[in-house]
Amino acid sequence: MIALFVVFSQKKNKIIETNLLKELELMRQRHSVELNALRSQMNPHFVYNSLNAIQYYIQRNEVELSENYLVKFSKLVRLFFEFSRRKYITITEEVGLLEHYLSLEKMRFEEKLNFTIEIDDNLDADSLIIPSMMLQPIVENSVNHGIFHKKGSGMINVTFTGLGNHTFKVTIADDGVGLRKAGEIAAATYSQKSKSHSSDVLQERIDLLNQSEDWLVQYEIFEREDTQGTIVELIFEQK
Amino acid sequence: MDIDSFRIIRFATIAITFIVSIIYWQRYKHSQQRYFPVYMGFVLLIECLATINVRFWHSNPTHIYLIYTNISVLYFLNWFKLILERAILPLLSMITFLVFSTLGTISLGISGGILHSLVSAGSILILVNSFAYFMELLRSNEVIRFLRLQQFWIVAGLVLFYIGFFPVHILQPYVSQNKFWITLFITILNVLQYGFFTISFLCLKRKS
Repeated sequence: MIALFVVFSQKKNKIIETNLLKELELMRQRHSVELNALRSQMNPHFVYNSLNAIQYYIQRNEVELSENYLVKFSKLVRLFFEFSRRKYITITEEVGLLEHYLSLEKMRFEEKLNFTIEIDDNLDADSLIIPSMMLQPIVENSVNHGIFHKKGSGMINVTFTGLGNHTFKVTIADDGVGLRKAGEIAAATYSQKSKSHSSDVLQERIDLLNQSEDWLVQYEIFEREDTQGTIVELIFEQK
Repeated sequence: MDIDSFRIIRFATIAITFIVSIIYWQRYKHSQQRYFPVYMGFVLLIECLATINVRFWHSNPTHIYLIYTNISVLYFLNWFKLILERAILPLLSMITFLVFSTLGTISLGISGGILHSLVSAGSILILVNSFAYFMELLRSNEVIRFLRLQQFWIVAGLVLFYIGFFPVHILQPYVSQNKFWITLFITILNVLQYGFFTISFLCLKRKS
């Protein structure tokens, strides 16, 4: 009788284990699908703004400028589609994407936007990888909610710092209006929905990455102390 | 403790199982076990009749146990036919038992040694079908909740009883002088069997 119960208990545990493994595999697939979907979300406002800018230059007969903008924009869109199909890209590729994006925005801001992108010498940017399409939405937020509302020119600094052992930090600092002021402006305008959507998407991606067994991502956003503006810090640890 | 006490213990165990089967009947009245209270009532009746036969009429209750064995084995084989995926085994078992019982009764008569052979045949057939049920259960996903399956507990009770009872029954002509210990052993088997039957009804109790 005892043997009977032992046999049945063992069989039951085996089936539960198999079912749990199947569920885990399904969860992984679901995560993968969700991450894919989140990666491929290009901000429609950016597309709208860019096309508006191109139209503006065409209407002003600034052919060279509009051609330049169109070429950069199409290159950026191509990069978006290519990178969103991949789970990870190299830091060099990420920097390339950010440079393309920021130079487009610089054209739109009529040179009132400046930017720097610095990579720590310790980082092997060609081989170190980062989850794709993570940083561009944050930089876009800095542009649209920080720099856009500032009187005068603005500056965005993107810094990649090595922390050793497959860990690195990305700091995105702007000298825009700051978190509090940006929040007040957003609350008063239609743009509140856009910011919270991109923040939600980013947070969702970070949560999914942290649930996976591959990455640990820490995300922090705070007001600058040295001057007006916002700092976003992301620490990526590859497990 | 004497042999009469064992009869009381057996009777009490069967009575408790019968009462529990009625109390919980609403929970399984749409299942294949819906006629179990009737069966338990029948077992209780047999136990009463056998006791009356022995105590008051001072006669051998062989014919009562013959009726009990036939109905009991056929009831369980029919139940196996309902619960097993492959009904061919219990069906063949039923036919075999009926043929055996009929031919045996005709050739040996009721007072002959037919009861001993019938009990042996019934025990083997019930054990074979019980193991068939366990094999099916082990192959299905239902095994995850086997402790909450009413059928599991009933079959476990049958196996527990017949695995213990069958060797004693076979060896009975050689160990008949140890009537006290044999009766004690069979009483324990009965208590365990009907105890498992009782658990089969209690496991239907909803978790609060």
